[in-house]
Amino acid sequence: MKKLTIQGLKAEIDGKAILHGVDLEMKTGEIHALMGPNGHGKSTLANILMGHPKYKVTAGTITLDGEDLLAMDVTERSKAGLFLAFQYPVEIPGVTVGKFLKRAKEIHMAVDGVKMNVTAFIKQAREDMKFLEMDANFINRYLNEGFSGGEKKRMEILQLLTLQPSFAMFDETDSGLDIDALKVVSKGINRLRSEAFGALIITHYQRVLNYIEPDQVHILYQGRIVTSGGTELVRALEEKGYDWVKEKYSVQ
Amino acid sequence: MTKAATPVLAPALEWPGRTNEEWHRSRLDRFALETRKVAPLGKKTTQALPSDPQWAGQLRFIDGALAGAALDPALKAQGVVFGPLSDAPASVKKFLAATEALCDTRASSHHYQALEFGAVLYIPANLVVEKPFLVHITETRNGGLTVPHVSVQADRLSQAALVVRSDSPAHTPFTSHSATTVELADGAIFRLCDLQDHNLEAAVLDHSFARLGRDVQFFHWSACLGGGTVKTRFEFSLEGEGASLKTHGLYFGIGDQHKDLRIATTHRAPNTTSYALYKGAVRDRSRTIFQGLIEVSPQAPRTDAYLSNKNLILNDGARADSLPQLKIDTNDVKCSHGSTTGKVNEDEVFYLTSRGFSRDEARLLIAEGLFAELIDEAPEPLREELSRRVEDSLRSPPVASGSP
Repeated sequence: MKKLTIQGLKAEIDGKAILHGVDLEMKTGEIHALMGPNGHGKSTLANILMGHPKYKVTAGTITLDGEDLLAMDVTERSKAGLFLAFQYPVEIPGVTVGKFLKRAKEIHMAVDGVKMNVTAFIKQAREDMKFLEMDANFINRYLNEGFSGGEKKRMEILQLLTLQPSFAMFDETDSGLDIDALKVVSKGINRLRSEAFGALIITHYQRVLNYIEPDQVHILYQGRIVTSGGTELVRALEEKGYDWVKEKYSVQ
Repeated sequence: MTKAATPVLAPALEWPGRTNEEWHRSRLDRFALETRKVAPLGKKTTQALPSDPQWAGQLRFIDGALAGAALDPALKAQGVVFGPLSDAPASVKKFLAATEALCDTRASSHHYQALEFGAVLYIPANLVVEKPFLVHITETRNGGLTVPHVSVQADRLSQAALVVRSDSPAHTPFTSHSATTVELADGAIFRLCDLQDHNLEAAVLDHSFARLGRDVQFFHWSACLGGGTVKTRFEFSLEGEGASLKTHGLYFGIGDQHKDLRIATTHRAPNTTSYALYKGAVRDRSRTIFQGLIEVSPQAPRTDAYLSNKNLILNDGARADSLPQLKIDTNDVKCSHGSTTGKVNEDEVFYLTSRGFSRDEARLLIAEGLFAELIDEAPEPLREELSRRVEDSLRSPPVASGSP
């Protein structure tokens, strides 16, 4: 079991404070949902966990199994087992999906001192693509270039299945997906569910949580986790909406 | 063609001065056109090259001498001329005289005055040649001047492709003053691929010209890889209605390379189109200048022209200038250009590093990706080599200061 611990995290972007003291503990084997209205710091938290250079941590600590995560660069965090499924995956022109996936996998295998078997990799990649209902031609396309929104999200999940991280953050992966794509994406995330995998599902809507049942639900509001609980919290949000959070937890 | 064919106009022309718009970013003295002498030709030992199924014909020049030649006999029987410049038919000689008359400075006319050797490709009317021709020019002479010329004439409704490679593997300083001239008659379809890979001591000057007749489709693909100091100009003249031009170019700067590249496309007839895509990357202390000029004359309504130039700056100290320019003298046109110059996109770097790539590897991957779109359109026999060559240039350790 691995443990990701966030304590008293404060952060800003371009001098604007976004997070005002976030505490959160996640273990592998658990699925956490992070909900809240837009603009209150959900994506910021995901980006800070991954090490986005634009965000500045001004206070607090993040540790991964006791190791100081904030001291690691982005590459090291990935190699340590962190994964971010991007809300808006960037296009990398001229780099094929196949070349990218193979090299990424190779890097992660090297961390464990394992040499890649290319034939086995290709076989696995084909199976994963079939599982995610992706056309086999994707392997020859340039990474995310000209992909539809749904295709980009599937590509994120394909990378998730390929790299098999310990902790994955899903930054509004469900946004903009039709119900079929949402089911496929959820199926991908659920496949990894095990004692060796932990996830933070960041979402604005409760819909995705019908397909991926969370163990814990947190509500991030005005840069703080204002309440945590189980799926009853999702139902409360569904019935009462975010106004309820606003009334109950607003700090002026 | 020999030096005897001294042009009438040439003596009247001046060397481009420091105020010359095209030249003022480059130093003419680097080419030593007045001091370097045409080196004696290499030994003339022309051999028949073994037939290579990739090419319709091959010409191999080493130090100005024709070292090898091959031409599909079936094509020869159908009237294809592919050989040294001395084989040029009268129509090609006439065109050569015409391009010489277009020289606007002594830096251009010098090529014709000093013209040393070259190749001619003539494709007769209606003939479709599937495989490309290859002209490969290698220079090993030290300290001199080499002046090669490649002249292409494709007759009505013919279809063919030519690859011109120039290189100088040894690290010897010299000047190459080359030109390629292309005349495409009505309905011709032609692809020209130009691969310049001289050593880093070489000074490379080139002034090329293409004339496109009615309904011609011309695709020019170029890679400017080598040379210490490089100054090139390619003029495309769209003279027949419906002519269509596509130009793709890649270049990069490494070490102390200085590359000043100009393409000038002139639309002179109605309904002509041009699409230009040029990409470069600079590293170390190198500098590239891309000058992209599109001119639309009053006789060219319904022109559709597009020019794109992208430059990637890989480290501080390297410089890339992008100078697109439109001159439009008629109303009914669609003309646009786009130019981006900058460092590697940090969002792309973040994405790749979040998947475990190191920062350095991420930047290289992005840079290689920039060129992939161009390499995908290069002639098939060259693609793999070009990918490798681009990769090597981007990944090799910094070139130390000291080359010219």
